[in-house]
Amino acid sequence: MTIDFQDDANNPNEAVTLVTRFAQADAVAMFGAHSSPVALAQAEAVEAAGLPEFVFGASNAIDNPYQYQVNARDSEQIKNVLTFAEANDFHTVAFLTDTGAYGTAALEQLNTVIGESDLEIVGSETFEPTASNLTPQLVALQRQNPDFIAMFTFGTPYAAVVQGTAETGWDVPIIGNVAAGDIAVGEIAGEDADGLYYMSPFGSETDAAKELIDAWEAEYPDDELTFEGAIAYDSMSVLLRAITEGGPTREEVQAWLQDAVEVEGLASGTTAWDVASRAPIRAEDLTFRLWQAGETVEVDLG
Amino acid sequence: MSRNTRRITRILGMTGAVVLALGATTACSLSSGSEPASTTSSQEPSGDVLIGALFPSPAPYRGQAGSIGRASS
Repeated sequence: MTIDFQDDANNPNEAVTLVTRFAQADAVAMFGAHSSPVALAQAEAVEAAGLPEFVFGASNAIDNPYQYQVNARDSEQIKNVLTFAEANDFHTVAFLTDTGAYGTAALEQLNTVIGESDLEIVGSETFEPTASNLTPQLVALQRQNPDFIAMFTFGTPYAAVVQGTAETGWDVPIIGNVAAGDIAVGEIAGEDADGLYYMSPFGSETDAAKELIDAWEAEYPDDELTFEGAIAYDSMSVLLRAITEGGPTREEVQAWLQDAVEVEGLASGTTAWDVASRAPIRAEDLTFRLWQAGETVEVDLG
Repeated sequence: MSRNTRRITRILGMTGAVVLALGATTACSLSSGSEPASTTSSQEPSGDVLIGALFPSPAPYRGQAGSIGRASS
């Protein structure tokens, strides 16, 4: 077996070209689409090639029979925003989302899912995906006095928002998506990140998770395990089962994946993966984590 | 794990966790067969079964798995 690693630079056009490369080389499946815009751009190409793809993008807009989302979809993460509010007896929320393709789609899901709940939406602000200063947005939201902020974006804006709350002295809980666990947040914001919550599909409770953590530390003492690494490990495990049990062709792999409604023994999540749903990580598979002194800890909301 | 995979990891930093994870799984899971699996970053891949893998450089974000030991940071 050979894995052909290629850098798509998170560029949709480049990523589509690489789908063609893999398809022409007779790849049986592929891993990729680290972000939602890339996955959406690749959808037509992977379907045309009949090439199953494991994607990390979380957008609910991703809906292709050949794309398997192995990160929790936005709608599942947003269900946990409601869980977070309920656990803390919060009644009002404000949104912070980026103006890119990801943030725009996430805002739509936030308005849909939370709009149907008892939680009152009292404010919503947007920012450029590369924003490094969110103080103006925070000042605007503070006037609405929300109990907490739900923020959906990825990258350094998470560092910017906690730096902004520290600067303005506004002590407001913020819950972000899985990307709020970005190591860069701690590197940039340090202790300013204290109080920032986020969700992760990889916890430490299951036996499979503990085994992976121990094995990883023994094999790669200089490389920290990220949740993406854990998900990648699980995804490859699923693919290997598809190849060994289904067969070594694209058609056989796709057929196996479409029938795999309960894959046990994976490290990510707390339940068996319903791979056939093409979105196996559900709200209940996510754990809550909290930044504390530049590090993160798992929290039980009770 | 192959030298190529380790080299890629050093180049990419934390994004390499995904690369390592993909490579580690194939190496471990297929080693029960008659031949151990191999991973490569060659421009012209070869092998009976080919899997494509994309990684973004630079990473749009680097998620923390968190939990215990080194995985906590």
